Amino acid sequence: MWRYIVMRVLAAFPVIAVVGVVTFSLVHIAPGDPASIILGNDATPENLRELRAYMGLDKPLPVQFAKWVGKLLQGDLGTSVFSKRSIWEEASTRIQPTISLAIQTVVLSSFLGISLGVISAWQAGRPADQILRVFSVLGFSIPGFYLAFLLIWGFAVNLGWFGVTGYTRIQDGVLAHFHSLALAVIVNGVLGATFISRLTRSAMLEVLREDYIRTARAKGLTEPKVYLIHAFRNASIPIVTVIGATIPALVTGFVVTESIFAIPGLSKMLLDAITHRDYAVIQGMLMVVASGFVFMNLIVDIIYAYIDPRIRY
Amino acid sequence: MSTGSYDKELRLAPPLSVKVQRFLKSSVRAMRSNPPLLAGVVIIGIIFFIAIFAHVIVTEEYERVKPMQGFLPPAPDHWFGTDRSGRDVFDRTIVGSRISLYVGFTVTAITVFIGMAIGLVAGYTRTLDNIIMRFVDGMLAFPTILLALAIIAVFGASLNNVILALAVTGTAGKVRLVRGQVLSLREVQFVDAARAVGVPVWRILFRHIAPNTLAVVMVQATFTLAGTILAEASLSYLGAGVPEHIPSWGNIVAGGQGFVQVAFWVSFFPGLFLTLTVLSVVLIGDALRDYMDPKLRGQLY
Repeated sequence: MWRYIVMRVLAAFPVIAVVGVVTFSLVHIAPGDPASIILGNDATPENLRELRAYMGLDKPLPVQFAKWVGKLLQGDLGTSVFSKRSIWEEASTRIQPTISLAIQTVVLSSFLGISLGVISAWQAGRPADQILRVFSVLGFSIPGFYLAFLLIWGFAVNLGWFGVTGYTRIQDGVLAHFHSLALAVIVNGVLGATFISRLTRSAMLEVLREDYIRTARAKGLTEPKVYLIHAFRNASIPIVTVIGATIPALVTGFVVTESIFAIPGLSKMLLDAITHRDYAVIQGMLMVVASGFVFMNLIVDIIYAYIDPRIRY
Repeated sequence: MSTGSYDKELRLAPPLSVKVQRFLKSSVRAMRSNPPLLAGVVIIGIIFFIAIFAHVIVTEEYERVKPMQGFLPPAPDHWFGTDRSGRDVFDRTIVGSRISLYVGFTVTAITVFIGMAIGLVAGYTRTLDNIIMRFVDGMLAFPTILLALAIIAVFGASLNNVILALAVTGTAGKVRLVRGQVLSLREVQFVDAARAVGVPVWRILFRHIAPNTLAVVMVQATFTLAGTILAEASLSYLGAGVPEHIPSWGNIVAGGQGFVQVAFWVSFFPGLFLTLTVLSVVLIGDALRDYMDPKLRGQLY
């Protein structure tokens, strides 16, 4: 097990390196130098030179890259050009809504997806399964922003159950916090659940064909026991992977929902940086998010190896 | 030589008209036994029709602003109502279908073409494989929408940059898929046989391996098409995609979002078209995958 973990961790390094190079070059192959974009058209040459020196843009590219990597290794993501605050500092004030949204989304989508998937497999071919499958195809086809629009139209405007926008911090009231995020969580949860339920269904159907399921039934186990203990545990390996894999897919949902519901999270910060062309923030955030995914895949692989010993060898 | 003519006879393919007939027949049969596929084909057919004949259906100057006619509800004059500046939502929705299909098909074609070329090379040459795949792993670590947003932030929001951003983010996945296929096909007997009789490498790649990866690639391509249409709409919705003066379903929905209380129709109808289009592509993709590999039935991707 340890050998496997060490190998996986080592394999993650080149990936992170590529992420770094891509992130850095993306910002530096930009037409028009960041300094001139920030200052706009009426910048004097002196101002430009000053800002370039301040941002380190007057140095050759490899030097800039080395400096950037050196800072990254010390945990310094850089400084926002606009707010003049460090990106860590800025991000740390923004992290709560995103983390809360992510945890609630994963919980909701796993719960919905797994239970609907198991029901679908249990009822395979019957009307309940057909209806669930129609919903899962629909859920896969509907864009997050449109689902958000429909929910706002239905639940916030017509029924008045939720506010359209606005975010309450958890320290200002736990219930109000959940209430303020509810629609965003539903949008992301439903989109995630469609992936998970489809995969759960097919994984369950595959397992249900196995001999040991017949044996379990033959020795007189009740159906719930057959499904939940014998079938589901064996079907859970691909499901764990797909739950890990839905998280990157959910980023689109996060970006869109944080923007629609005006949730002051990390995606909103990145989106604002993009509209301001705040390259330092874009660079830093891309780096963090992509490394985060590499790390998350690592965790998923390790969980995977833990659940299924065959993978370790 | 007699063997020569025998050889020729064996290679004789049925004429094109017969091939087309056979294809149509089998398609009709497939659709009859598979209602979701039929639904998908009908919807995408209608959307195509709309996109091709948009300039005939939309008689009026669809971008003309008529401030006095803002937020008119759906009525016989304006089927989908009007937006804040009095522009007809139906007209803009019809014209918007062009952007979705154009971006969707262009990006899919680019990613499939480049992805196959790189994937074939990566799968067949061990030395390049390592370098290419590390790069691909790195690219896949970025969430599509974030990388696309960053590319557009750097290069500016325009139709071509949306295509560029989505093509860059979509290619890595194709490379990995094709390379995986090539790795397994490389060991297959007919490739060994071709190598044994001295067929050059490029010919093995293009005549023997590439055609056999096509089935899997085509299935993936339909899902790419669906994903690209969604991604373009999301980018345009976020204001980082197709500029506002070119109607795209994403930016029309965005334009109406703030006015949901007074005029739900501005966002409702273009969003519905978008969802139906993606749905039809997904349904066709599902059917195609089941046809190519019945084992995968019911799975996503």
